[in-house]
Amino acid sequence: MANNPRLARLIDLVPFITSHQGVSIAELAKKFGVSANEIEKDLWLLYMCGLPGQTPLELMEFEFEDGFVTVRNAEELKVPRSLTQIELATLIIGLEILHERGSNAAKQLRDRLANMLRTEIRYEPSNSEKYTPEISSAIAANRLLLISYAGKERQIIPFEIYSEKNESYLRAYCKQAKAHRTFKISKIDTLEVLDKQELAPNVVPSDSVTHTTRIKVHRDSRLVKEMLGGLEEVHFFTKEWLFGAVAALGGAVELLDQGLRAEFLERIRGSEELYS
Amino acid sequence: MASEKNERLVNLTIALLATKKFLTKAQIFKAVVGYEGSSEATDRMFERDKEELRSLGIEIEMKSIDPLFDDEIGYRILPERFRFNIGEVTGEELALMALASEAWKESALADVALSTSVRLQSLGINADFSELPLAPTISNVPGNITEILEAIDANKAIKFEYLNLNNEAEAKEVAPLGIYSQNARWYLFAMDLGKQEQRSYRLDRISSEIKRSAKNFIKPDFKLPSSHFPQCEVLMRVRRDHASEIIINSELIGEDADWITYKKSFISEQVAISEILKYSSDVVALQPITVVSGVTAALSRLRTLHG
Repeated sequence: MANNPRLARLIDLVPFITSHQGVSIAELAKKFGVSANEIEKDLWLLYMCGLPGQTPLELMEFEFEDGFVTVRNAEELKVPRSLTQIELATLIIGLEILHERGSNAAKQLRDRLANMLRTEIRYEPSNSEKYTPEISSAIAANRLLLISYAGKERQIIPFEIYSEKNESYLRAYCKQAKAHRTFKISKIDTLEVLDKQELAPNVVPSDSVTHTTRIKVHRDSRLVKEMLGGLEEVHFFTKEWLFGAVAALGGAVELLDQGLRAEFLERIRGSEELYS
Repeated sequence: MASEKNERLVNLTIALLATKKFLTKAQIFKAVVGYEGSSEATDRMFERDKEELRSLGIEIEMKSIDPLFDDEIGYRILPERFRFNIGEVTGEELALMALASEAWKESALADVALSTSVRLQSLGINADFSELPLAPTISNVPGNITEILEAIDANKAIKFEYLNLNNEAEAKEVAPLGIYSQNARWYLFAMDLGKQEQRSYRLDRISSEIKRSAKNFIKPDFKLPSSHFPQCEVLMRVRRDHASEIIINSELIGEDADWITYKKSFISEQVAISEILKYSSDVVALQPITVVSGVTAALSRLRTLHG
């Protein structure tokens, strides 16, 4: 954002009011994401602005006593200012995603805007970003989802999306497994919102309790931090996840809890046997 | 005072937009209320004002206006450059842009999105939202992306601390060139001014604030790294109905009662080893030999460590 958001707002208020004559102060506050009080202060400041000379003839004419705002004599500022490079970049990326979702008009517009961009930027949407809107709308409407996940088709009743360690997950009730399941959204291959509504049976989810355990880091601290979320303690939902992550780190980190160590060792020995 | 400053800036913008002729500094200081104090003070004020307007995308045009002396500079803002101008916009295109900026509203660039959206609504065109795809959402954009984009746009070098392999902060001074995302992570592509080489930095590994540096640089030729990773093709056996995540995007080669053999491309040998270790009770690496020995060596380290 610009270093001076208020200046941006002052300049942007004029064309907005010009194109929405009679707009309420409350509506302006909502649109510009500030309080009505701020908007009123802005209007008082703008009231004093205009062409050099600053006689009533040159000033912009604002009326807003009754809470509804009109402007006249604002020739210079009545059209919105051009897009900054950063604003262009965000629009281009947004349009790229819309194009991926099948809009050809978005592609043409994207190319037009890209010609105006001096900054190098490239964006690769992840599956989680692609599917999140559909999933959210399905949750809101209590709709069933048909997903293809890990090579299997499943009908699921979605509950909530949450993010952890830079991954987005979907909590849902899986009708095939007849149990609560958590899906990594980035691993969903295809997704379809079904025209069916259903409520999940009242089953306690198995993975809703967090556990904490202590670890010792031997090397690759940055990777450990990124994968486990901590360098001394790890919070986890399932042992399956913890053991998988500790194994994947290949010896960079050691479990300290005696019970977990024994169980993990058992598992590693089993894995080694597969190679003998 | 801040409000006086903003009043001066709004008036300056209007004055420079309204003038057809270039205005000299003396004319500007006389016409726009608020330029007070010594001539050095007003000069400094004016320089800062120009910079503030620039950060809003408002470019002040400068030209030498005295035929005999070039130190007399004139200033104005071209209305054509000031205006939101991306050519003819249809109602459908306006709606698309509204959705495109909506995508950022949960992200670190929410402010940018809001400002764009307000201006799109000021164009006096009715957005046509029929037949549009669902609004996308862009998540996990790091908060420091704004400073980086601004530095790239302004051609300024930056300084920050970056976590090395041991999770220790290291000071870096770089010339930012571009930004890209890959596998849901954002990267800064930049020229390391110490080592004089082009490198990528993961934005979530930048552990300090981003500061502008005083160093100058000439923008080198560069290409953003391509999104095609070197590939590592692995043959593996997977226990039937287990490790369902690892078999995504893999090719079935053969099967027996308990095990299925797959071929899968990983982005690197290291990633392959790490993924197979994650499911080591149910996945056995068969080829290449480097991956097999990588996995068995790690298993033996893990056993010693926990034994």
